[in-house]
Amino acid sequence: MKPVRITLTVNGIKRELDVMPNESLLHVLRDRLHIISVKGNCFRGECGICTVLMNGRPVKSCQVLAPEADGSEIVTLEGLVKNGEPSLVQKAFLEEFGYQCGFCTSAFVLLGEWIINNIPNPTEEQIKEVLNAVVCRCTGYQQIIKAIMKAAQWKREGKS
Amino acid sequence: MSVGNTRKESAVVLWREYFPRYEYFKVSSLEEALKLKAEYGENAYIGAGFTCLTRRMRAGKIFPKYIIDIKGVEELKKIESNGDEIFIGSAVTFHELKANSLIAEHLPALRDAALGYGDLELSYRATIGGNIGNASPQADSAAPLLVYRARVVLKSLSGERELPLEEFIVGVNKTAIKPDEIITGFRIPHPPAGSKSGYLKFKRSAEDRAVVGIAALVANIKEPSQRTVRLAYVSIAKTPVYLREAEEIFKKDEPINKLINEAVEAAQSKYDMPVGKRGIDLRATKEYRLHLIKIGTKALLKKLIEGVEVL
Ligand SMILES: Cc1cc2nc3c(=O)[nH]c(=O)nc-3n(C[C@H](O)[C@H](O)[C@H](O)COP(=O)(O)OP(=O)(O)OC[C@H]3O[C@@H](n4cnc5c(N)ncnc54)[C@H](O)[C@@H]3O)c2cc1C
Ligand code: FES
Ligand code: FES
Repeated sequence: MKPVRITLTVNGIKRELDVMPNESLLHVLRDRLHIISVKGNCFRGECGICTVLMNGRPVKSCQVLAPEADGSEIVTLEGLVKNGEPSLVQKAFLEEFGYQCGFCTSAFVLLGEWIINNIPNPTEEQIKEVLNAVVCRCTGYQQIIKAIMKAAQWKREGKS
Repeated sequence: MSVGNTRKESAVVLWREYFPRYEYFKVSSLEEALKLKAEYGENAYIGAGFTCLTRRMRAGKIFPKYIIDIKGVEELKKIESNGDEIFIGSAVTFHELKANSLIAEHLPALRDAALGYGDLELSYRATIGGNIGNASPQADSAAPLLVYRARVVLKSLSGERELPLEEFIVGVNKTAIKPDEIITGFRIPHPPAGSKSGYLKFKRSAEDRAVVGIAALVANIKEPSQRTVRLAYVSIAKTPVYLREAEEIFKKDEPINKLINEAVEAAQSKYDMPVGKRGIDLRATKEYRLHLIKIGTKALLKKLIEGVEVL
């Protein structure tokens, strides 16, 4: 098994990395690039805690092979902050208390980001459908749903 | 610290952080993939969405020496109809199945299965080829494909062959694929004109696999001798079940509710899913699954025949 060279654009920064074929994208992001908002939990595609946006779509990074991600564009929670300003979804999570221990929060914020970019006027049902992918063991999901509704509304109103 | 035998044999597995050691190939043509398969045979695993492969590697169940990633092969991503048959490429994802208009129009049961599959994140990656290639007793797409009489298209450097899905899946995670073959897709005859079909899935949570899954297709229901009723089940036996008996049962000139009861009994007699310590699926008892077969079959057929939602 030989290392392979891959190119990843992570949060807008292009990087070339030598990775082993048997690493996961999760491992590359967290243990090689030290992006610690991305966390491993079940390692089998069930909990969604390892969610990142890959080419604009949410995926479970524990199930992506590192070489598979070659050439892709990755966004993690860190990438949502622009010039020190949290994103709309992040602000809405703060206002609506969409977190408790915070373990799942990065994953839900990324799902929220995907929702407000792809469903301009999401219903509660549509949001629930997407949130199915991630498990929160603390808050219950109500505040998370409210936060995403609020962020979508802000976006429609042109707030930044 | 020594670990006793009982512990080793129980379900406690240490999940590996790393996958086993393999070489990874991303191919862009079928030709390339077939060549690698011809050279490396069963040491080479095809991967598409990797939602199952990664799990089985981490659990220490399989140790691929080579992985061939086919999701970049365009011809495996087609969904097309030639008027008689619909072809679905093996690398088509559940997300694409949900969104495709041919599927929505002609194969609604498959669309139901795609809608009920996993979650958004998984559906972007998981493929229909992987769902069947994995041969899990719970594979959602298997039940619709069985009632639609799908044939699995297999290719190797030496040529192409087709197998009915029923003959392709032979056991838990076992298929009739040869070491040098790849599933290129599925050929599905257009369902009979005027037929209705659907898939009903019982599950515990959003992303859960089927506790019981039922697909049905009905046509010409008023005329007993012309009647077509097909039923298929997943997660009731070690392989998906096509209920051949149903075809004959519904040809009888008897009250439809009586025939439905007969079909339910026939389906229940197929139950073969060891649960318990060495079982393959611990999520439901035998009694519960038999119950779901009963209420599910009735509800689905009522919906297709009379258009009434009972569940
Ligand atoms: C959290 C979670 C929830 C899930 N929920 C469901 C569910 O609701 N319903 C369900 O049915 N399944 C479910 N699954 C199982 C899995 O996602 C599906 O079986 C999926 O369709 C597998 O497709 P894949 O492309 O990811 O396969 P892969 O993991 O890439 O491959 C699976 C197997 O098929 C073989 N294979 C793949 N493509 C080919 C090919 N073209 N030719 C030959 N062999 C091939 C591979 O070698 C491998 O052995 C779930 C999995 C997870 C992790
Ligand atoms: S760690 Fe990836 S889904 Fe749980
Ligand atoms: S806030 Fe604790 S797991 Fe979601």
